[in-house]
Amino acid sequence: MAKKKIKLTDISKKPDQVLLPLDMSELETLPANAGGGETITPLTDEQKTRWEHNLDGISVLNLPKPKTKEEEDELVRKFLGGLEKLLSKENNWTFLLPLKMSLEYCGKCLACNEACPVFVSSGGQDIYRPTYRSEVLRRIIKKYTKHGRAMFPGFTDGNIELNWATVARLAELAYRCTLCRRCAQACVRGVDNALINHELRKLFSEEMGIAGEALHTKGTVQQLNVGASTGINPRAFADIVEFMEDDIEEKLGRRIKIPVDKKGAEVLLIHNSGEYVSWMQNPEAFAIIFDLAGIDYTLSSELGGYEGTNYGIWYDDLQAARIFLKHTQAAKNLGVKKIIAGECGHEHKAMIVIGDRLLTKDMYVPRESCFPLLEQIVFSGKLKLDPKRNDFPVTLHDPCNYVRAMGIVEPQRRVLRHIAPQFREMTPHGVTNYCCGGGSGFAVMSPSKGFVDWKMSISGRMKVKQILGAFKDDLGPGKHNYVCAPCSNCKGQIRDLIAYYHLREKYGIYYDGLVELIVNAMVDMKKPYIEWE
Amino acid sequence: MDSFSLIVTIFAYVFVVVAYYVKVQKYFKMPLNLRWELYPIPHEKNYKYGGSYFEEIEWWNRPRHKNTLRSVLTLIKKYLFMGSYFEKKRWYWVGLYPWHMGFLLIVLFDGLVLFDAIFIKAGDWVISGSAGGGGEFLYYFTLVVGLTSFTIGCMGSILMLLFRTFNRELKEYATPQNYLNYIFFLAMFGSGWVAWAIDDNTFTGFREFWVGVLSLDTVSVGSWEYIHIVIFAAFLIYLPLTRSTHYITKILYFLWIQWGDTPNTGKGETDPKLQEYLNYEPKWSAAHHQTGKTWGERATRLPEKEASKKDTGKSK
Repeated sequence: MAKKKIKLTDISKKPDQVLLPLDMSELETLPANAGGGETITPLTDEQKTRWEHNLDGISVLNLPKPKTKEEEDELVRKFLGGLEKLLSKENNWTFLLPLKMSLEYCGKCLACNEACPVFVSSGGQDIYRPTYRSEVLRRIIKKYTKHGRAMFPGFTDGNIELNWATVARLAELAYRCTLCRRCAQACVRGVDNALINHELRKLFSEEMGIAGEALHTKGTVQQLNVGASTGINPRAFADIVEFMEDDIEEKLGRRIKIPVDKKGAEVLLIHNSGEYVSWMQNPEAFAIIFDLAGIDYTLSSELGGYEGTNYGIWYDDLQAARIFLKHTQAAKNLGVKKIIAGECGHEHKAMIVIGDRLLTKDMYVPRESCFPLLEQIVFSGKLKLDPKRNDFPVTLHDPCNYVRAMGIVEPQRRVLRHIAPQFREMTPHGVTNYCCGGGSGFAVMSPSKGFVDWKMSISGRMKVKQILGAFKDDLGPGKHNYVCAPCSNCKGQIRDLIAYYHLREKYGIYYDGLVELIVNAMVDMKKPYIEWE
Repeated sequence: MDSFSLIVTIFAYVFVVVAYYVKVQKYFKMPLNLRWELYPIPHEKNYKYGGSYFEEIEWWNRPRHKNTLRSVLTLIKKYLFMGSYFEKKRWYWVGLYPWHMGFLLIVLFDGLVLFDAIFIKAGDWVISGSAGGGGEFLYYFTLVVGLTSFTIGCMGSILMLLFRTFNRELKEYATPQNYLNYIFFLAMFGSGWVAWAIDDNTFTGFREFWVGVLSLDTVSVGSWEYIHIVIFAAFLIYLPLTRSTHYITKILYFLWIQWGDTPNTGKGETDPKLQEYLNYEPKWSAAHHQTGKTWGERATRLPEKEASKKDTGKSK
């Protein structure tokens, strides 16, 4: 079947029709006969009646359909108002400069398109080009806004019609990009289509109150109100710590005390709270390693002190700043010398990079990644390690947020080369890695079955291809192949990909973090730390 | 030659400098953005694999390695070779590269002709193929740069026009201005080439024209030379109306944003700027924003409704 060609101007046409009915036969093929039967679960008739889904038949935002033409017009007017604000320094001082430059200087060469895993995995669908949404937005700005209006917009920038269909499709389209920024790496001029997408999400959130429910209501709002996006409150956190101490005692053969709220400790360690809920072995492994290495650290039970996530960096600067300041306040209250981010990619980026210029002198606390410290501990000889305990194929997933966006590439690799004799790289890896497909919040978003299918079959497809490629000579049922994914959200996505493609049953593929492998190599452990079942 | 070409040339040079200054200056006035770097960053010690200072324990206590020369060389390489296109979209590079080099060389050619004119006027130099020494070198250098520019510029303009016309994807993203640009620039490069072939294969006319500009005198040149001089002046006036500022802003983008990894050291260097930004009163309308409060107040205080919902059940 010939691929449907979609023009930029089509975004405003035929509002009652789906712009791109997804044809799964066009997807990029996977090696080792993986995949092949992917489908996108359609919305129910009732959902179709209620939610906008005219982009690709999928609903991420569960955007209610306006009931009247007046309502539509009001939403379009609001969108335009938000666009004006996005282009003004009083409203958007945080990213105005990179946004303006990225809007102004795209050469429309499309060289970035092939760098995008979503575009490539989808079989090259026009609407998933990193340039598609940016170009639509650029044309709207040039034609309809005061701040960015061109003198002869149709002539210099091309035409576009702004109506509710355009706005609704753009809103959904803002959630078809994982913000991995491979496209920005590919651009000769430095144009950052991922940033434009980030700004588009921001406009919808900060002006229109439209954002993924898992990111906003159940994400940042819950985190600010309850303490964690997972819903863990300070009381529950205390119970979890106690449970971890019991669990460690069982595994290690002795009880260790996990320090909480220790005033004046050297380090405040903050994990993604998803670890406490889904992968408790991860914070437990940190506790074991730090205890044996004699690190003077503490966890915090303060609201904002035990949850490292900051979904705000994906859609809303204000929410991001609020959460970031909670983290630094928790550190200030304990009087620690620094904060260390656990195995969570976006926590790293939010806390160490994005928040950096939000700190005045009196709020400043140094922040660093856990990986250099883990490397130092591993090579210090403080842990007795036997790499033979990790004598199975291991590959490393590079989380975009601290690899491409922070340049933390080698510490985790040096550890793996030391403790995992069969370590091998994915292709490509390091700063040119592919996103797991769960980036920008997708890993925690399940607003409709169709979107879950989409992130498994399209946004995560390239990662599946890479994983199968890394283990190509070791695939098979009953094998033990380990994907080291030192990032909470990436782990969530990889866990779901393994289940979706039956990678465990068919190819013996497992996943977990880096600290689990370190502890697994420790001769002090009575039994293997990694549980393969 | 009439005084028109003299006036339009002088106007064009003044205009292009002022317009570029105005366009670029607005970026200098924008607020300092939140960090948004992207690796690899050339000035970093471990640039080769994309590493950063974040790979070191307590990086804030260590001396910062910054290889500015490598950043400059990387930028020059980007300008001169466009290697990223060569790797990722080679067929496009085949058209874009000569087009792009045509621009760089025509500017260099124009500069060389002006340079020649200064020597002729101020030092009574003879610049010709048999002048010997510096005069002969300048003659041949100017000739090679000019001819190369006109030739590859024509080639690039034609190829780019063809790509944008016949490649479905590029055509979809093209605007009417793109086509005007290709044709206009083809006329500019082509007129230079024809002037060389028909009027003057030594470029002496261009040199004399510039001696005239320096003296504010009108000088007689060949008709194709005249056409090229006027088109080139129009090109300079037109440039700021295109996206060509990217030749300058690209440098800023890389230095300020993609490679802008200068950390906040906690000593308060950026506090005055930050205080200014935190005092802005945004007008965003979503419910979680608080109208009438400053950015800083919003970031540090939750909306009352949300704040009241806070779980205070901390364990004893």
